[in-house]
Amino acid sequence: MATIYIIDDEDSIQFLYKEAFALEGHKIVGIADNGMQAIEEIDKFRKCPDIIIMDHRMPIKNGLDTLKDLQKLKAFSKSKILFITADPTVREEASKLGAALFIQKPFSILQLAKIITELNKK
Amino acid sequence: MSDKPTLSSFEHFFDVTPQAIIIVQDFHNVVYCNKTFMDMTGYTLNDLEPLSMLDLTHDDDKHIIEERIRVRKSGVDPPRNFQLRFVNKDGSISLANIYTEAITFNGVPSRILLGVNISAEPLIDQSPELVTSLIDTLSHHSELGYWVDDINDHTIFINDRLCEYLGYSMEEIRKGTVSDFLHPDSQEVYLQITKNRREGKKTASSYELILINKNGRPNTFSVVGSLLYDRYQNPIGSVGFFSNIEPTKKLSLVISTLNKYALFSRYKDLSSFWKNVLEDIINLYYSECGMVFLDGEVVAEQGEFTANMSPQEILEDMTKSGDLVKHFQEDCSKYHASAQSLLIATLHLNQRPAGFIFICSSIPKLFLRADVDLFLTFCNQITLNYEHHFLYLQSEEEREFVSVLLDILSHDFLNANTSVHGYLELIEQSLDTEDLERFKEYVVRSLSVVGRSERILQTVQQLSKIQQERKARRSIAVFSSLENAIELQKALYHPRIVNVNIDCPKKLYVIAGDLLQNVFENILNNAIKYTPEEREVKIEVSCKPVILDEENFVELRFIDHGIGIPDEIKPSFFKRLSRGDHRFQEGTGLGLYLARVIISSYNGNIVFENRVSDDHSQGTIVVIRLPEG
Repeated sequence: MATIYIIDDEDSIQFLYKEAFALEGHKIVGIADNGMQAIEEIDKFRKCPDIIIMDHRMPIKNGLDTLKDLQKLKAFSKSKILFITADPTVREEASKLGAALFIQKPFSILQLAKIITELNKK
Repeated sequence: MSDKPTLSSFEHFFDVTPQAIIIVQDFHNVVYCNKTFMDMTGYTLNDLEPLSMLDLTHDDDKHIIEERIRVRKSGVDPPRNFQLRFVNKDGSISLANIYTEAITFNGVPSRILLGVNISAEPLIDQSPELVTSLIDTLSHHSELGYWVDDINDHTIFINDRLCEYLGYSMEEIRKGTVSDFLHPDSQEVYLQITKNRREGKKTASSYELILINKNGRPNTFSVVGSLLYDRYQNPIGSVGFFSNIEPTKKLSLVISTLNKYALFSRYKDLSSFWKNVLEDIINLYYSECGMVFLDGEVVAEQGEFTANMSPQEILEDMTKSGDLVKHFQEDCSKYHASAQSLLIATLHLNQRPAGFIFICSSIPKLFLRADVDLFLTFCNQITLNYEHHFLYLQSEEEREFVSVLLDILSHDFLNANTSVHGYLELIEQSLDTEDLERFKEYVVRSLSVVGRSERILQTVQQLSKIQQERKARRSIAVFSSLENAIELQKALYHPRIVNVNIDCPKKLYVIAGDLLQNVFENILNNAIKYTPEEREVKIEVSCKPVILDEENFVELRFIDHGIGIPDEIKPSFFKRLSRGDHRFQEGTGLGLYLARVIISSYNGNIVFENRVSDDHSQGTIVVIRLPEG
């Protein structure tokens, strides 16, 4: 079982993550609508989430900018970051900024849940 | 002792006279010279002591001295006047007019030579016949203009060529001042030059003057001018040689004007392109009025034309007659009340006659044959520039459009598909559980996502319309467009009471398209939707003309009393699909992003301000600025 923090501004995707990850037994420990909110909340966690799922295209602060800010937090070294976007051109930069896995839309939600299970074992 | 004065009594007088004086004995021995002679030739008394008259004379003129000696030796007096070239100490030559007289000097028969230096006079090496012939040519037969003034703005002499150009006789020109015949810009230049010359200040020897002829037609001349002196070196006038440079100047200006319009980035919209072109060509041809007619509309106009003048008919006439250019030199009142000269050239787009440029003036016979040809060349070339410019802008717009469409398809559509695909996976996964509530939840959410996809498609449709509208911008009355938008929104929110106060002149126009009303509807819709139920919906709309960067704009301000927008997220509202604007994306399907795209396509801009400057929660002001129509 992995603890997961979700950063995505879209309500339908947030709900999808909750439902699919529950099937694999994962626990959602927090959801943020944008990068700025996520940074504030993650900084307050006493125990960092195992996985952070991060959308790229979000209002106020996008995924890449959020990754840069996350580098200053403890969670950056403790959590594995899954970077999810439809835009393949940001893959390299996301990797450089510390994303453990780059997932390009569209994807199968059930497969993603399984990938998280595998990733959490490593 | 005799009191009779001797030559030495006059020595002081001889030294101050402007005439050079030398006394010669034994035919060619120089026994006296005055200071003026020494100044002229550069010799000192010591230098002169060993020299004879022949030593001082130019080789080519030595025969004159030898001949005079021979004649005198034969007992005959040679002519008292003759011209002689002296070789100066520095090797240069001085030409002198000489008068001789027999005298007795120191008791010895001698000749006194009184010389006047005429080296400053032109054509020193030429014979008097040739000089006369040249002056006659310059005065009566030359293409070169030749004008002599008294450096006090009055004419002394003017040659036939300039009289012919100006259309007046020399007597008529002498009656006025020189500056009477100059363009106002040139009057200033000329009067400054003559003032400098009077005051002995250094003056440019080459300058340009624009002369105005009897009809009022300006013509530019390049002038090489110089002061004229009397034999005592006092300035008595100035001479200017006038060369007509109007054709070359016009050609050069036409080329630089065309180059200016070859730079695409300077003109973001095509209407200012033609306005600028027309203004330039009118100035270049010293005209007063003009018009550019293209694709069935007048795209630029300067001056007032007769009410019954039909641009479409002019184009049809030109097309029918097959004339590329037409030139009228007399009454053109059919087009413009005071026009006496007129030039029209057809503009071809895609090889077909699509319009024309015409310029006219109240000056009769303003345009010469060379002007007509150059005008046609200009019109042909500027049309090519316009076509390139148009294609460039069109390709830029299309590139932006394609990029937005791809973005929508690759992001929004992909997101929606990812969601629906995910929900279907969950439904499939949960089929065995028979959890109907969960199924229902997944279906409802899928439908919601599909609904949003449909709105995305509507957005794409709106974008396509913006693309079409770019080619069909026109003058739109702001008031009536606002009124329609307000009525629609009031009907939409009925029975809620919506108070909208409009402060907008009925005859205020902007350059825009049909989608402008959609933008107004969107802003009003948001203002109503985001005014809390307990608050009264109050919207004030004001419109006024403003000047931004020297361009005329109309500023519209929509002031609401809604919940407002936090300052930090205001900029993100107009960004492409930054979903800070969720609230604006719902309902009409035309978000603020599209509002910005539409307003930008009209060359305007849109921004938010707080109604109360330091409290965003008291409502918003949406400010739109559009080019005035």
